[in-house]
Amino acid sequence: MPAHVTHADTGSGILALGYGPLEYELPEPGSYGLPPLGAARDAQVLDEENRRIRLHDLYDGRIVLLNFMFSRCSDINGCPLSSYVFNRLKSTMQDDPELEAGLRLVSLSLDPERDTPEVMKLYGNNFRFAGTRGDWDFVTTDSEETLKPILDAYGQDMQKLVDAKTGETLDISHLLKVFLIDPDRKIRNIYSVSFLHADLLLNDIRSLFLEADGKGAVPALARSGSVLSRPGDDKEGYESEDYVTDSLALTDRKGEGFDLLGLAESPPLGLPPIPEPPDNILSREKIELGRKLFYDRRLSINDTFSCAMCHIPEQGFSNNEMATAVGVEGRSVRRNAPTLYNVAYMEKLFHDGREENLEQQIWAPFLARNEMANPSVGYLLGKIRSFADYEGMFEEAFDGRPIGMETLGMAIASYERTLLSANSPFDRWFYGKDETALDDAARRGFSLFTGKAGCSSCHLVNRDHALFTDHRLHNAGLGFENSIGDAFKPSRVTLAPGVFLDVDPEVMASVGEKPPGDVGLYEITEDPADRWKFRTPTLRNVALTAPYMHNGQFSTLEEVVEFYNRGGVDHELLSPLIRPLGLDAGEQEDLVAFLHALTGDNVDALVLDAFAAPVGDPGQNSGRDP
Amino acid sequence: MNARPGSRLIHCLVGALLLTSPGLLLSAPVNAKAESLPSAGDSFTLTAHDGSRFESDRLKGKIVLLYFGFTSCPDVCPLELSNIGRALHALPDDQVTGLFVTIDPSRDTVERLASYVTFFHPDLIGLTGTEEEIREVANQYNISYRRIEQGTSYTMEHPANVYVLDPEGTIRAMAPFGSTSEHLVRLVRGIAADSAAMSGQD
Repeated sequence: MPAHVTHADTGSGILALGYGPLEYELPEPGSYGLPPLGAARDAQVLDEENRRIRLHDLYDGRIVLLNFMFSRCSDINGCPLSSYVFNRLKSTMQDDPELEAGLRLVSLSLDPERDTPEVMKLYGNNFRFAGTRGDWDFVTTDSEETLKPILDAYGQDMQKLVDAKTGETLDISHLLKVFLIDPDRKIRNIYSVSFLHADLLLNDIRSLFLEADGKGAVPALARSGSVLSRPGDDKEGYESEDYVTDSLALTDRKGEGFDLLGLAESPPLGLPPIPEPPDNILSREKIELGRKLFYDRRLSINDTFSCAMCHIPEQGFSNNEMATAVGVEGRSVRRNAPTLYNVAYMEKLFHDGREENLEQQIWAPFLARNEMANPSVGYLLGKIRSFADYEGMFEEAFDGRPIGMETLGMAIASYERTLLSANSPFDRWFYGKDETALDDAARRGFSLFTGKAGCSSCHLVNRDHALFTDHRLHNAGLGFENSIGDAFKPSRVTLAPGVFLDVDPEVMASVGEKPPGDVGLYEITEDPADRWKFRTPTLRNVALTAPYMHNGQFSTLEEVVEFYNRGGVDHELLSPLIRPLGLDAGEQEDLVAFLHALTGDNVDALVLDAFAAPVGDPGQNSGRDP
Repeated sequence: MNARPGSRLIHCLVGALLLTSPGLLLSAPVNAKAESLPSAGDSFTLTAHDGSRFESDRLKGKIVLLYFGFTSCPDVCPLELSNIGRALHALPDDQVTGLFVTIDPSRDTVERLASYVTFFHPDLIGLTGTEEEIREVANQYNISYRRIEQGTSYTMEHPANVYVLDPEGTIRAMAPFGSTSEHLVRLVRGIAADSAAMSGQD
């Protein structure tokens, strides 16, 4: 039965439960489970200022309560009820800091025709005076066409009563539903009119807070650390017609320049001064030029592929969506794209550590046939030389030196060297002596990290700074397992989105490319003792750089910790530092909480700076000779 | 149908809401400045509950709490008007005016309005008019309503937002149903401060 109860239906106008005191006792928060009910889908909406934003911009790591409403709603137990209940939550947020920081209220209009952003702003304006604490956003859409898929995605029914003569909408009837959405954008509860009560909602919200704490995670806001960093798509529900991509359209990537030179000259808390090669001292011109080159898709064989397409700024300058990288024309790369955050400090580059500085490193991806696939050094230099928009830039940055193999490397290295990120909750606690910066779970995690779990033997933490790497290569057994491992396991092949087939390895071998072997450092030294050794990666911003390991085999930090807890993969070349750790579930969660506390505070500034860079689209301003 | 809305019902519902509504506990310092919204449209003329013609220009210079409803309304209007009434009690007379526009002019005569609105606050102004006059004012404020037949009687469906107009008559905010009187008081004070700040800049 629809919740749209008119006065006519109720006669005396019976008020819903939500308006009165709750007449039963609620269970203790956290004493019950709220199983996920599906993904809270993304969609484009309009904010009060008529700006196009995404629902997922609003689901920013806080718990979200979403209601559908419209300003002309006249059903006392419909929209006004949800407004009344949200009002109570908003007032509770005024003196409950945890709720203020961890909860966001969102109202989305069912009536785009009447509820323009201007009308929604009248609500927003009202709540400016309902206490400064706590966010309540009022959003709408630009048309019924935009609204319809959102309603479908959330299973929100709506019927319009239209005047047959005038075509005017007389009334909108909808089944009242309020959605509880967790920080991972999963719907955890749906409230109908019989259950919509502020006390009940608060109980569920507090249960989700406890759940997050129980996982050992820091509170919702601090956990994410970055609003902008996220995979474009997790492909959940990809097979459904209603699927809406999470990927940010280029036009929505509004950038803002950042003082990268200033950042590099005084690195954030927790980082030492950057090592600068004497022949490539940073300058604004070099950084600017390097940034332009880094995002320029024309620097590939077919004008399609820039450095940033594997080292994606909003995905931790890595790629959250692929275990192993993919180069031009879909060519497979056998390893995971490593993050470029704090790459300035790395003494060994690539997972096998084969390169020693950024200036030289760039040539491998430029020339690799399965990455940017330029046929030769001369080809690429000649190509850039022909672009009118680069004219004079190298000369200006390098004291009159034109583009060449060295200056090209120096320019890109200059930009990459400025991507410093620290002053994380851990840094503020450990180096900044701010006792409030790190929560208990992460502190326990740090004790394990440097103690029982022994992580810091390789992921070093120094007295005045931490790079979380020893710049060395170790064998944890994962490469061994993949080389020797299960050759007889069927491969799962996606035939169409959501449709899989398990293919026999023999059949696979007859049609597919042979999976590339990977023996790590051995490929460089040809010393059998170096087989399956890979570089110790930094752990700064590690929460933003999934998937993990040299081949992206693990999607989550939980899996990584579990892998090391069981002692990696035992074999005769296993590093003596890798051993079963005997961590119980709680300790593993604490370690993960600590890893989440390593996200720097300037990530979004660096991402916005990246968004401000030109992309070097061949369609515009190429200036290239035919 | 009773000739008067059951005042006992009003009392008990209002009482229930008073006891249970938590109130908004912090006073809100107002920093953000409202951007100018287009004004609500032309001024209007209706009939006040004392029988006089009422020109909306009379409202200039004061903050207005504007509400559309009908006196036979069993729950929403009394609750909302009691909040408005209590807000009016807490605010100086020369700062704010409360307006109740009936959307049910065939039943809401001047006499009936007079006894109804003064129940909530002596200075609350009840407004009525012809069907057309009311429809026109409602359209200006983006209000829709309709009559629902109920046996031999009928009831009205209407939205329950309180509109807040600044001293120029421009809509500044919309408070959804259930906003407490404390909130309405802060809303009026905040909008008065905004308006003063803006006129001070001229």
